[in-house]
Amino acid sequence: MAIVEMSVFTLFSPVAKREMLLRELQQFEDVHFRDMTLIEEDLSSVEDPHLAAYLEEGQTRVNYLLNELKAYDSREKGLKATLKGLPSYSLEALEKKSAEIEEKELFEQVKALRAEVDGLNQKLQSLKTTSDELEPWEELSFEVSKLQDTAVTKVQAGSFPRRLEESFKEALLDYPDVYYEKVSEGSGQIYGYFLYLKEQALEVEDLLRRHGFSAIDLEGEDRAGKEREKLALEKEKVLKEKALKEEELKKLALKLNEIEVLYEYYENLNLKYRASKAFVGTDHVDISSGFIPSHRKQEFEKQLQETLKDEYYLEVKEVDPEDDVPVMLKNNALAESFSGVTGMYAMPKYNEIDPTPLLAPFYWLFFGMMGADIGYGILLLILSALVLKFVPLKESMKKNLKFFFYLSFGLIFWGVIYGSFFGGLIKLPNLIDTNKDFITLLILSVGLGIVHLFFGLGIKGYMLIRDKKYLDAIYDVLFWYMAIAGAIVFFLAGAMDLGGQYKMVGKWVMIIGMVGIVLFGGRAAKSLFGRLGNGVYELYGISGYIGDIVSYSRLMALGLSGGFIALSVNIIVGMVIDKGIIGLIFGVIIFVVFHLFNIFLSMLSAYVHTSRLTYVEFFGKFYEGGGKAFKPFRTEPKYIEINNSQGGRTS
Amino acid sequence: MMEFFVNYGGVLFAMAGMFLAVTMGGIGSARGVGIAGEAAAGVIVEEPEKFAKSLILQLLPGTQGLYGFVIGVLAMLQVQAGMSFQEGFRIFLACLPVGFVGWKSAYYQAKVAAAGINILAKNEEHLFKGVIYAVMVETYAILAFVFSIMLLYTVTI
Repeated sequence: MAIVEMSVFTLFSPVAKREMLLRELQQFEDVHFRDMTLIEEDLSSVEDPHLAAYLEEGQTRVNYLLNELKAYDSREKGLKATLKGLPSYSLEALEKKSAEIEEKELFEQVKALRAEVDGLNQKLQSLKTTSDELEPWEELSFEVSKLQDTAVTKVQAGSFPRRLEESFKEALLDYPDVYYEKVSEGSGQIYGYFLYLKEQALEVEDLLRRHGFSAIDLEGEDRAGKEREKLALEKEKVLKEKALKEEELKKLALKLNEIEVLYEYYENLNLKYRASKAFVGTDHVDISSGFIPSHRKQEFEKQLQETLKDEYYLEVKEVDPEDDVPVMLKNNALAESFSGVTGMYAMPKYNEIDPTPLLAPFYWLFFGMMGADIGYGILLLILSALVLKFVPLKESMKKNLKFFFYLSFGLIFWGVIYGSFFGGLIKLPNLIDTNKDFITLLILSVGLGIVHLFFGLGIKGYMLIRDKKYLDAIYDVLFWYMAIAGAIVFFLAGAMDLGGQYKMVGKWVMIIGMVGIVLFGGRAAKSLFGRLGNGVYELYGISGYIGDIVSYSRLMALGLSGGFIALSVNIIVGMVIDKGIIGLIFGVIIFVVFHLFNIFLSMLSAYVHTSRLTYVEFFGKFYEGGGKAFKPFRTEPKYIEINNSQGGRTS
Repeated sequence: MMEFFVNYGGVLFAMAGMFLAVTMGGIGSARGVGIAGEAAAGVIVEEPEKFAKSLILQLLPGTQGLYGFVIGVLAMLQVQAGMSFQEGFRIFLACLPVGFVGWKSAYYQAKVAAAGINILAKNEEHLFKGVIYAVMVETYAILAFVFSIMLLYTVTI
């Protein structure tokens, strides 16, 4: 079956060989550790504080370097880099390479340079502020430094709002000893200075305040214009200095490749550290436990024998299916590409069934029906095939693309049935005319829906029989089949006038099914009334089936909506295209842009609605999910692919 | 007066229908895209690299306007000078589902999309779940759209 069978192991190994053991297990990959601190509460964790500190420091350094140098990265990016894929290292090569890198020096260098650049930036900022402050004073007819108090007078430069100028001047008439000179004005402010006697200072300053005067202390020796020139020169100098420092940073950024190696090295170390945190033990012995796929059991034992010689004790047992066993899925390549659909909902529990191969054919069919178009299908086919062929991708991306690659055939298949090529660009013969046969389409959609639902119910029956719960299979599956199939036959026979015997058979099958559901649906309840009450409530669930069946009408609706949008794009293109050369150009642009948009929209809707039919209607019949995924003992590559000659790579 | 209606009523009603389909859908979508766009802009302030993803969410409430527009175009193809009053009124009614549902559903969808942009900000990996929630609202716009098509193409008086 598609859920990989697991074994659980418990291992006693010497502390001295922990590092070696973890390294070997990392090569083995398919190990999912259990947190022993939760199982053996009497023993303490073997966490190594030195390693923790070393790791913490290293990761902080590397992240700092990656962050700071990112802005100075001059390596090629975008498509070209993507086409090259991630560089690949073996575990040994990774460790060797990372040991060669002088990360601490690098860190100190970058930190120092960064501090200098920051300092220069601050300086630039303050130069700008000073210069801006001086700007309104360029028309001052003497040096800035001459704005100074004497023994008996005070001088104050500043600005006040322009709208208060009149009243200000009026008020100043009362103080003939105050000298005021306006220097300039701008953005609603008037700039000027006041000269007044020290003995009048309090009164005058109060007056100034009342007129919204804000004082400015001007810095500098020369006249304002000259001062600003000096500042500009200074700025030039600082900018040059900054450019030099940044050049140095750029040179250091060339080492980003090495820093990325370091990043992966620490990630690896972290992986091992986290695993060891789940160990318990004494001063000399580590106790670890975890899950491995049963089919690799012998390999696992052999590996331990080679690594630990005779200094260990190992126990490997069958798992108890009711336990919280991690789930690893294994399917053939075709079904595997649909596993994302299952993953998005929930992993199956260990004692359930992997729904991926079961949902795949319907998913394919429904997606195609909702996006139905030969042209769109071919486009998706070509695009996904090209990317798969020429771009090196991570495993998960590859899986997604294969998923769409397969789905494109569904689009073409239904496109042929609907006779639709880019929304009727070329007239093609069709099996179903989307302009007329709405009712046929609706019946087809609902019919497919009923098949889908019955199939889901059938899987539930299979699971019950597999677990030897035969009576449950009859109560929970067979009765439902009878009730629903009987009802369908009964109503169809009535509506289509097929004759009494069909109606009769349908009616009785339905009634037997319904009575069965009422009698046995609530068998978990203890009292008779509770049982019947629950049974009736169960039967009420038949209204849910009606909702489920109607829900499949979306198969028709989405297929039509995409098709008609495409059709109307073509109509508009047809309108402009025969209006000369400009019309032709616009026609082509409209055609490309709007069809692309419609493809995006149709695919998105088809994806979402097919998923919904799968999750709500189909899974609702048999699937619970909620298992936890098997976490292989490896890191997810970010910058570097770690190739592993030995690992299973099964999940 | 009666004569005027008999002569021109068909065309007038058909045009009124097209007008409603296109404008109501358009107004709804414009509002919806606006709401989602505001939310998206909030995320982009801090993380401009999420632009492409936020665009998906912003676009979702934009489709109602498109549906209305398509119905408008399809209805336009059926308008003829001197068409009967009944014919014109049929087209008018056929335009209403997409107009009304498009108008309101775009707004509701935009609220879900804006919430989805929250997911984008905080837990980017699960962005697509937010997209799914938003697309769910669209179901009803699609149903109305398809029903408008059916009314345009099947019912003959």
